[in-house]
Amino acid sequence: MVDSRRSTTIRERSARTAPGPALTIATRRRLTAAMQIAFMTFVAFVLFGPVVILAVFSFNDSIILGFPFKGLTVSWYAEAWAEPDLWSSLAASLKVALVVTPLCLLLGIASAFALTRFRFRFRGAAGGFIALPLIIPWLIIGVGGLLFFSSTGAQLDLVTVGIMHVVIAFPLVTALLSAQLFRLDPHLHEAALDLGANERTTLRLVILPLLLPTLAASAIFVFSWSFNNFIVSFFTAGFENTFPIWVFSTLRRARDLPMVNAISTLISTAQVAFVIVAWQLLRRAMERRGQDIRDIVAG
Amino acid sequence: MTAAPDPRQEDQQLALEATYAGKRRGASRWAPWVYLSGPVAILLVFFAGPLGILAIYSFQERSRTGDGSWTFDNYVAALQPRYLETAANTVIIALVAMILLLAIAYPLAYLIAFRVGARWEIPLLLALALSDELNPLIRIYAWRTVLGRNGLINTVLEALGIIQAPLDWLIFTKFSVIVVLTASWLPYAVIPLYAAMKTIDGRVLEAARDLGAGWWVTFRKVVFPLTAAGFLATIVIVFIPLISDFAAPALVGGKSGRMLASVIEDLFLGRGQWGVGSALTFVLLAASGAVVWLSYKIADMNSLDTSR
Amino acid sequence: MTHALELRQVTKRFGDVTAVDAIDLAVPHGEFFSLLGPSGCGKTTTLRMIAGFEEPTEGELLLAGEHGNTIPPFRRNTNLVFQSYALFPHMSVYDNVAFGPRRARQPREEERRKVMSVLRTVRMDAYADRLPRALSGGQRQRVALARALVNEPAVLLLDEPLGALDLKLRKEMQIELKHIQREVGISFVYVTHDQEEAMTMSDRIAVMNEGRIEQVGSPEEVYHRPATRFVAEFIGAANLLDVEVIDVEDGTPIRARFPSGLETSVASANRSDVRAGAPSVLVLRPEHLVLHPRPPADEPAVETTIVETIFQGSVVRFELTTPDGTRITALETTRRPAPGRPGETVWVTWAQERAHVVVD
Repeated sequence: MVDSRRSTTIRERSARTAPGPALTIATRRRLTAAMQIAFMTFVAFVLFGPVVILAVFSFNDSIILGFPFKGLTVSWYAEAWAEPDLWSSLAASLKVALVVTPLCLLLGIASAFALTRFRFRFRGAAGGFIALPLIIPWLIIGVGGLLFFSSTGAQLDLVTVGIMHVVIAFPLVTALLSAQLFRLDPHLHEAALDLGANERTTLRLVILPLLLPTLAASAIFVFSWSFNNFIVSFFTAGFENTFPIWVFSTLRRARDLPMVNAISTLISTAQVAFVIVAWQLLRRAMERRGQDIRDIVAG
Repeated sequence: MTAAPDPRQEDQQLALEATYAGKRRGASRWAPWVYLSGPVAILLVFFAGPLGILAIYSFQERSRTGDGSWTFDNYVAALQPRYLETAANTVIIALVAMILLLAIAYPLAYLIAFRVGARWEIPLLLALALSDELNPLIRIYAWRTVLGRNGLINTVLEALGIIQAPLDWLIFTKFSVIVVLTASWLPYAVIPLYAAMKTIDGRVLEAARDLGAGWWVTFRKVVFPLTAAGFLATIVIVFIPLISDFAAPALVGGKSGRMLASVIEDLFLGRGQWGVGSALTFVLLAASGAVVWLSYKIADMNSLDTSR
Repeated sequence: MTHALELRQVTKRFGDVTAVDAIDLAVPHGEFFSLLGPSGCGKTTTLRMIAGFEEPTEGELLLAGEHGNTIPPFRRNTNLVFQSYALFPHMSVYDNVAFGPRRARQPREEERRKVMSVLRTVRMDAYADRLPRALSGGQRQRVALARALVNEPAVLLLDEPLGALDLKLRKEMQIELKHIQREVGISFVYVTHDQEEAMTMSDRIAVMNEGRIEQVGSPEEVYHRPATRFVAEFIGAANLLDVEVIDVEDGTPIRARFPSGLETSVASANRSDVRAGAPSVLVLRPEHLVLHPRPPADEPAVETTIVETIFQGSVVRFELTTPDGTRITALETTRRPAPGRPGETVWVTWAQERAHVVVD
């Protein structure tokens, strides 16, 4: 079939007697498609391959992370289950993320509103200052936090971790929300006022509902930034363990590695499930509002 | 003007005036700061504060307590050869990783924005976001299953008879750090490039092709100039975390893949030399700033060039 | 009797820029009133001051006879139809229209009755459950109108509401808007830059230019008796011929002289402005001109050369030029034998009672 199509093309071309490239258009198109698929597969492997292989090895009956596959076991899961430090670090990370997320949303909403709805002196400076934590390396923010809290005599614990997570994460909310607020038709706000809604009601009935998908996306980002953050927590947690710190110190001690495989698989599965569910809810909400999910990404 | 002393009422009035009349009365000028006071105060105390103290420590004599006299000794110590060697290593690793990132992210963003169609566009973006939701330490560590002595690559190559003994440069080297960094920051490189591409009207590409431009000319004269700003943003977004990365060299770097962040961590948590550590931190900040500045300059020259 | 809306010496400045310059306006109840002018003439700023989105820098705004400068928009008895419609994208057509009644805390049955009734008025009752994005431009326009009308405002404000529609739909909507306005009996203040649109719908028109009102009057008045050169040029097509007024005695027609020495009498003028010796402009509408192949004996005629004849269906348009280079446009019905071909000389006369003079 391929041959016949190619010959048709060649015949067509010879009929036109135009000198053409060596490859026919159809073949070139197929080649391009094949290259695209190969490229996409490569990217997919880079992003997810290692984690998937790790999941497979978490059932491997061997303490060495690698081939050959010695046999199926769930004993590493059992070991992880019985590890108290692991569970307390997970609880700590959850606790911090659950407190940090609403705080970041509040600060993000307040700053995004101020920056987009008012024109005032120093607006540019204020916006730049709030964006600064997004371009200063987290390592430096973490080290700075360590010095700051030590020199003020503050106890390093989950509170200091939470404070620093707020510092690095709420500017992201500001950025995402400002982009969405800029995109909103300013006349929507005026229309609500014109129809008898005061500022507060306008906010509640018009602005916030239209921002809800962005807020939800922001919440997901902030939660995962906080839950996954290692370097800032590492410097500001004192003797407390968050989950990433536990993973790091376990890997560094190079003991109990198979247990890390098991817990990594569990956590990754939970995160994938969480993102997919959140995604579905978000998509449905946005469809109801007639907005395009791509806008959030593009913003 | 508002007879009622109700503060809520007054607040609404303020907001209204500020929104619609600009700065008409003195009071309305403060309305945005009612909203901004919280965020700005938090950043002043817990962001500017730490950076300020870091700066003070970097210029003080004694470490840990930091109550000594003013000095440049910490910077002199930070610029000694063994740190400079690591610094050079760091810059090389970060630069190579960034070039790799752009080489993968640019075509990927282009494919997602223009080639894959509406059905795949959103799932692919979601996949990128999803990979970023996974714990970065786990993602780094998982590369040992691919690059390790008994990992996927060595096992496959040995099974095929291409190599007799496992390749020892796959892991705990610069190579592994570069691979892992590239994989880790790919989503952050693709998203801004995708956003930049999305602002291009697809018809512009058709028009270029219609006017007889080949793909290279289309790219050089149309796509690249239109995405130059996104390209620059990507460099800024990606290079700063690359040059200051700590986890990747710590978990898969070994001796040859050592980067500045590990040295800084050691100075602070291992040896307690806070002054030198602070100075080295600012050296790192300066290095990342320099690269960002340089890329601005290059992009500037490029945008002039494309107009020809 | 109080007016639905009154502006007294209202001025609006943005920094150094004066957007609206001491304008006076009065709109009686039930009138279809248009603010007409080119972009940047201050008409939208005027509308936004009436709606409450801007506060006048000087002057007084009266809503139903009461001082209204500082009443916030949500307490005003005015409603605005936006050019972009500004429909709430997350609400159905019904919820969009019910937004106002719900803010006024009307009972549910009352709200439902009003919303459905106004949706029937704009012929959108079948679409009550749709989301705005599922509607065409014309349908969105109707919903935006219904959402404002349902509040039974004292004055309905419309900011170029038809600007985004295509020509055919715009023509249909013009008729329909006028019809709806008669039906509900609410005062409309309609902002547009399209003089034809303003002529079609309005009871009265205020022609604005550079922040000032040039003239207020019925469509017939502003067309036939423009107050200024700007109005004459902006409303419809006009031939403007420089003349010198030589005689303005009460009770007799005004006498005017062309630079060529030709004299004519003018039936109509804004007499208060026109003075003898003042440089003035004779306003002649193309459809009032008559072309003659030979100089007529009994009336003053301007000698011209035909530059171009353009067939336009029911009429033929003649582009003419006088010996001193002034361009003149004339419309003749196609039934008559053509008075001449391009390059030939024709003499232009006009119905004396249609001639109008304004101060230049």
